[in-house]
Amino acid sequence: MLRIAWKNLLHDKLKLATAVAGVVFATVLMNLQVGMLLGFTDTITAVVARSPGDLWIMAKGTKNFDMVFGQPERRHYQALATEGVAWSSRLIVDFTLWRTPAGGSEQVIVLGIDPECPVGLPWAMSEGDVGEIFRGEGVIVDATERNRLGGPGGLRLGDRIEIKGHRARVVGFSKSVRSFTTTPYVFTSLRFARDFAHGLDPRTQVKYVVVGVAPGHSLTEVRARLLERLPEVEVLTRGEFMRRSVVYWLLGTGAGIMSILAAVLGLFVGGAIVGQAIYSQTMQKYREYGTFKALGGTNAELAGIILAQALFTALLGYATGVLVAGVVGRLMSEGRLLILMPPGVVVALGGVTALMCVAASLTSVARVVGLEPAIVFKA
Amino acid sequence: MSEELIRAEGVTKTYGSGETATRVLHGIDLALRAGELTLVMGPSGSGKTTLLSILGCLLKPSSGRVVLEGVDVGAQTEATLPELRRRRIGFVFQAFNLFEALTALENVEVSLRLAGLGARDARRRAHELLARVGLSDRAHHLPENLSGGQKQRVAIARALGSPGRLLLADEPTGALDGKNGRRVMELLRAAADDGCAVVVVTHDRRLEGFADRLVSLEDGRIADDRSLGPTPASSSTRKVCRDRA
Repeated sequence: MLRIAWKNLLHDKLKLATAVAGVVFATVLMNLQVGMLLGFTDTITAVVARSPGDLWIMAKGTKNFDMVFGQPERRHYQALATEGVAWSSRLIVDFTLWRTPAGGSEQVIVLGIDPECPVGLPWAMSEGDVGEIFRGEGVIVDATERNRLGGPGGLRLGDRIEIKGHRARVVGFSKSVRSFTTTPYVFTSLRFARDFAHGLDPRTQVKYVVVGVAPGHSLTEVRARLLERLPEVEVLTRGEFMRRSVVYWLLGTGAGIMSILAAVLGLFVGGAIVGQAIYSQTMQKYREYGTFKALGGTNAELAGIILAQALFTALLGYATGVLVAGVVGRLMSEGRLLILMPPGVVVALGGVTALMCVAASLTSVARVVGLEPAIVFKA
Repeated sequence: MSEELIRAEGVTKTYGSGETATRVLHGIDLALRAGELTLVMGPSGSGKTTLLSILGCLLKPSSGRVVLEGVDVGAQTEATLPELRRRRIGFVFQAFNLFEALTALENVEVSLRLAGLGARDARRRAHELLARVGLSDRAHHLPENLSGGQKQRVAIARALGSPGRLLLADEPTGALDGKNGRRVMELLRAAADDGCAVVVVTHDRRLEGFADRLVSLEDGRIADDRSLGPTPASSSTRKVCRDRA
């Protein structure tokens, strides 16, 4: 019976192409949208997830990593003096203006990193040495931002640039380190960041204090001690802070909902195309299915033929669609947008696509199940 | 007297209900025997196709009883009827009704697989059946590449693939020229000679030469049921279905 299904599909190549195109459309849209969603999540949490530190101390009401009020630097020392804290690090995160060598300006997010206990360093380098930011006015930007932040010909190692009136030197390029807002991250030292951090008292304020819990101490207990000592702040675990940032950007701004809606839309549109193609093919073969019933074929066998056609279509379309989505995703990821397509998600979406095709063929199945075999004798 | 394969007793069929009800068959009594080729003739609307559908277990009578090789068809459920058809009945249609996406060989294999043969046995047997109908050289052709006569011979090979001994043909020569029509009737005659009960619904009086019996329907009733005597076409084609019984 599988052979009948397969041959029926191949017999009308135009209908097959239509159905496969529907699945490809749904597959590309779903994989790219879900991949974008995963990319968003990864980008939103990237710095926190890839930095050391068990607890993040921040001003109350902080909603995400990129946008945060300042707090007095003394909290860093208060944290250090708390029982169970192994180390503490200061971090500045602030929006400011970058003047390009050509004279233009770009908004950037500066990360000022504590040299004594660095938290927030770029985790992958394309060129240069990450330690160089602690010498003089060194800055690191992402390699994908060379053209945006540089002049004609792009930014090069050693270029002199200006950040909010302060001269700086490019000492390295990170590799695929992006912010969710697509505003470029600029990594530099805590000291240099303080020179131009927007709205901070340069001597007394930082944005985050990140602490590491000493071995043998409970995270919960250390957090309780910190909150007792610093009642005016919030102390979040790394996981809590990541979740809070994700919820803010994906749900608060609607970006995530739009991605999910687009993926669902792709599923429905693809399903409609597949359903229409399979239904049209079923109707074209209606008399043949009647003959099959007359010869003794059962409803289950007929339904099996239709469902097998749907699954063959799903398989062909999904394989093609994943290839297309993979290429598109890779090309897009070379720019500012990260598309992640982990194998588990690709397999899961394949299951969703198969279900979509099966659901789309149910109308056809219902038609052949209700088919009266006596139609074979009608002219 | 040869073995009775199927018997219809007091079969009626009514389509619709209430004021729109139309009675197509009125108390048909008919017994068909192995080795007998029966022509069912009658004007359009006389109930020939309905009778064939009921004999083929494709349609349930409104009243009356059909017994196929000792099995009361009326007692069968929707789940068991397909099994009855695949095991006991072969069909030949005026419009051939081949599966357009399958080759001649694969078309024949369908009924063999439905009858329970494994893939290898079905293929071997399909080749044999195509050889019987003279189409070995067209085994791998799609129906669209066969002539009308060749298509009908594939359909006969497919019908002969059924293990059953009841072969029902609806206007099998209706879409064919005289020469191809004759060839098809010779094959059906041979099937009867090899023990099948063959029923041919037709308008074509020229087919009487191949038949043993003529049943004439008028307004849903059997108007005439008579033996046609010896069949001149039977002697040359008796071997076609030898292996089937």
